[in-house]
Amino acid sequence: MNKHTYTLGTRRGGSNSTSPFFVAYPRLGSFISKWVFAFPVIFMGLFFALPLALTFVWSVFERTMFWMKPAFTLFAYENFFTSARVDNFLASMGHSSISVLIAFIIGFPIAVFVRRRVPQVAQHRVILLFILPFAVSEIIRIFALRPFLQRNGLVNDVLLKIGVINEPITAILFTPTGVIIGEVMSFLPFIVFSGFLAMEAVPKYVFEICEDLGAGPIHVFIDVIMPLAAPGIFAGSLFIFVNGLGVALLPNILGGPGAVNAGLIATQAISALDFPLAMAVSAIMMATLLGLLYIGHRLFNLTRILTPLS
Amino acid sequence: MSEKNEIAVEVKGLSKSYGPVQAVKSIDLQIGMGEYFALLGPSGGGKTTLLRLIGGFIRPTEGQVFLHNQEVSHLPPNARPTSMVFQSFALFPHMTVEQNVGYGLRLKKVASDEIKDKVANMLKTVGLDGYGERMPHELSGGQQQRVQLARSFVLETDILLLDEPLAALDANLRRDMCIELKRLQEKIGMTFIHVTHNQEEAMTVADNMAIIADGSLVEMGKSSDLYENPIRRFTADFIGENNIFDGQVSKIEDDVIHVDLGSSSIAVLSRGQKTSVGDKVSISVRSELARAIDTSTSSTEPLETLSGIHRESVYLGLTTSELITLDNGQEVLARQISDRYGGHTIANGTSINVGWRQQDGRLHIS
Amino acid sequence: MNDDYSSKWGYRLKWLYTLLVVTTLMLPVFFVMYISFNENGFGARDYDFTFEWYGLIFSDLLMMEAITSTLNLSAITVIFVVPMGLITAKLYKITQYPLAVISLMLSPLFVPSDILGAALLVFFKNLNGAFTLFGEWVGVSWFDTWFDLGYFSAIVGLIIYTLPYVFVVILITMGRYRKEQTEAARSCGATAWQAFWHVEFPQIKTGVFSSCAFTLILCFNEYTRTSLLKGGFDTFTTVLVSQMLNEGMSEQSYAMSSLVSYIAIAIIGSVIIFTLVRSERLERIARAKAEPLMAS
Repeated sequence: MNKHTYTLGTRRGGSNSTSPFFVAYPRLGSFISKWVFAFPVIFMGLFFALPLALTFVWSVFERTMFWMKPAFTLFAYENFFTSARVDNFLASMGHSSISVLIAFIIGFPIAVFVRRRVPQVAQHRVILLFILPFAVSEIIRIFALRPFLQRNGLVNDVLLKIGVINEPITAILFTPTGVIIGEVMSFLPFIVFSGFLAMEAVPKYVFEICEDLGAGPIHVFIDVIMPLAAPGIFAGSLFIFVNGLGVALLPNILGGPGAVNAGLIATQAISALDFPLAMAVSAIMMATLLGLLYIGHRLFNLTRILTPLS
Repeated sequence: MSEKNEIAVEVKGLSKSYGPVQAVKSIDLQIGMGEYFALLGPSGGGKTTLLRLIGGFIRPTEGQVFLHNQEVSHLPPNARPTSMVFQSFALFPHMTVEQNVGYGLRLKKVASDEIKDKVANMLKTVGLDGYGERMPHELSGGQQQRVQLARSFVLETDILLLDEPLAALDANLRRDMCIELKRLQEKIGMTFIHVTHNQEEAMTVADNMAIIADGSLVEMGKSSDLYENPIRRFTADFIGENNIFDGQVSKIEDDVIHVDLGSSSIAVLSRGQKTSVGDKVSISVRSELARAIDTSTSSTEPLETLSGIHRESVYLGLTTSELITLDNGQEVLARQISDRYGGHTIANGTSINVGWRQQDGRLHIS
Repeated sequence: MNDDYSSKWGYRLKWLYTLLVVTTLMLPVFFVMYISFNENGFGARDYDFTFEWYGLIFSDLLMMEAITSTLNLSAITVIFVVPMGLITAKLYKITQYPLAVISLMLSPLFVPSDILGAALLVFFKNLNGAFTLFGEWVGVSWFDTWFDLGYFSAIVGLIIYTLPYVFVVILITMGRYRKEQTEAARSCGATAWQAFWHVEFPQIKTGVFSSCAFTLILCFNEYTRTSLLKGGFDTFTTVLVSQMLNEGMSEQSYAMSSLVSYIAIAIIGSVIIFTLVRSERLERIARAKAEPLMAS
């Protein structure tokens, strides 16, 4: 190395090193970057957190002919809790829970398998397969389930042909069973995604230790996977549960008269211009969600989900 | 190297606060051109913050940074004549070694043949000839740090900032890299500022060093001076293996200070420090200058002694440490070269004196 | 990885199961494709193979208009949401309150479409009312249409819907990135902007592009939020629904949605194949390069 010239700027080629504007006004640059970083947070606060928080306020407003006006009345809640709506809501909670269970039993082993057995580089690719169904609009996918499930649909045809049943099963479409099938079909990928993330919390050597100790798969699941992956499993299950309660399309297209969930009640209320009722249903949903999140956090410390992300 | 009197880096009243927390408290510092300078101190003491203030990665709350006598406090890192080597993870993982090293030249719009030549030369200099096509993740930790060095050297900037560059390496490799760094610095003649919490590392590489603790500059000077002749008690405690005794000045005879340690009194040279009777002071003695002396043998030369009980001998290979508990309960270490054949062993639990020559004790008034 | 003692057949069976589940989930999609080739359309007794409906896609003017406006809506959403996701992911890496940021960004996943749609609908109606009143009070009519339900409100709804996905995808691809790399680039003489483009962006571009594609597909296919917040029957899904409600979906609609799914499957499929091939190639090169140096 030869000797250097010890003057500022020459090495850097002067002006190309930094914009003269920001040298002159360095504080402006940091001012802008501060607000740029704050923007998404402000946006979500204003258009997501605030409207959802305000549902609690609007739910006690008084219904007018086409809109609502500020007041304090529990009429909307009374309307909800003293009609068939509350029964439908509770029933849809039951259906949603069954969907969670089925989706978990079908989907979670896939997440475990991919994490344990598939080569590291290919893992994300395999998980990516599960976003393929999203290529087609949810309404078309759900609508396309009808010909499968109806009386002369594909499922009955096949079952009749191979002789499992003699009479077509009528009790699939337009019943809670249909809704549950729809929920599992729509939301199963999410238990695979969250399970995959959750399995990050279970190091591979744990399986080797289990093999070494001779623990069977059920023991491995209950003693090792469950405690370590619980936050992720909970998050995935909660996702399916609340969407089962809140997505109106499913009962609308697949459900019968009895299958009405919170989402459908809310949209029907909006069509009927009963905004306080819609807001009351939304508020009840939000309360349910927050309550479940709180319980989940107390039980599993949900912040553990974030470890693989940071 | 040359031009020692010229100043490469000067820092005046530099402070950095994060809310109520002061990471750097009004530091003044001068570093000469071509010097290998180390910033040594405990973790979280503010030395990395100081380095980043010099590099322009952090904006100071107060004070100024001068590089070659020009104020640069307002300039971003890319406009300063400094480059930086980081602890790890700082190579661009999507570029080959060659592209990593040539990146700065590419930004300066140097012709690509010239970049190729310079990069190849530089890789040879740091001992990575033939590694140009590799990706960073295909290199070992030591090799990655060499690539970082090459990336900085190739820019021909004249101040290199090294932020714990060897912390991620294992002990043997670290020792080799220290010597390598020193050799490269002498060859290239840049000013190096090296942050570390490892005193051995700092001793190996640095001509001069500064001790930084709790956001302040504790002491600064030649590495050997800081080891042999520390002024501050903190320095004595931090560098080397020192026995420290706290006490009160009881008598002053010219430059010999008598310090009352409670049970006994010790004389020490003032080294030009002003004290008066009744001041709280400390005395430090390096463990290799303290000796364990059998109470029965009489010494040939006058020693400052304290009495205690021998606890145990710890054999460390090259040296053996004697652990002695004084009458007041304080533990003292005396260390000498192991001598398995000629030396006598001291039984645990025997009464023993620990002593040192008067000039080996060092007075600290702060 | 498959270890030496585990049974090959168990491994294959698990793969088979995984693919079977994917196929089952895709059944409705395949069924739509199947119908799209039937000359007699949905629900007919006979099946006659034809490409006719694909040729007729562009003759359904109402649908074509709807698709154009949906694509516009989706493109605008992508333009906003992808930079927002990127910014938030960066914010997450540097903030002192990562937990607050990530909770706010991910919680839209847990709010069902109809509930969020209803809340936003009432929110915008209120906002609109408030601004109109304010306009009357000041004496200008300028504010009247600011928050009318329409493109703006629909885009807000779609941004909230897709931001969590974009955020997570980009955050995952940021795995190897460390802020020291940007600092190293700065100390090599790069401006903040150059450091971003040369060092940070190349590492996360897979995430950025795949989240662009994913957002586009999600927005294009979204029904609930679009219909609640925009109103009218003039987007892809709302036209489909109006067809369903009236005489049933037109045969062209099946062809259209099949087309969309072909494109999406092609994109996702090529991403999978491309990355697999590339990672294998890189590994081969690395091995080839490592060998002679190891030997020496």
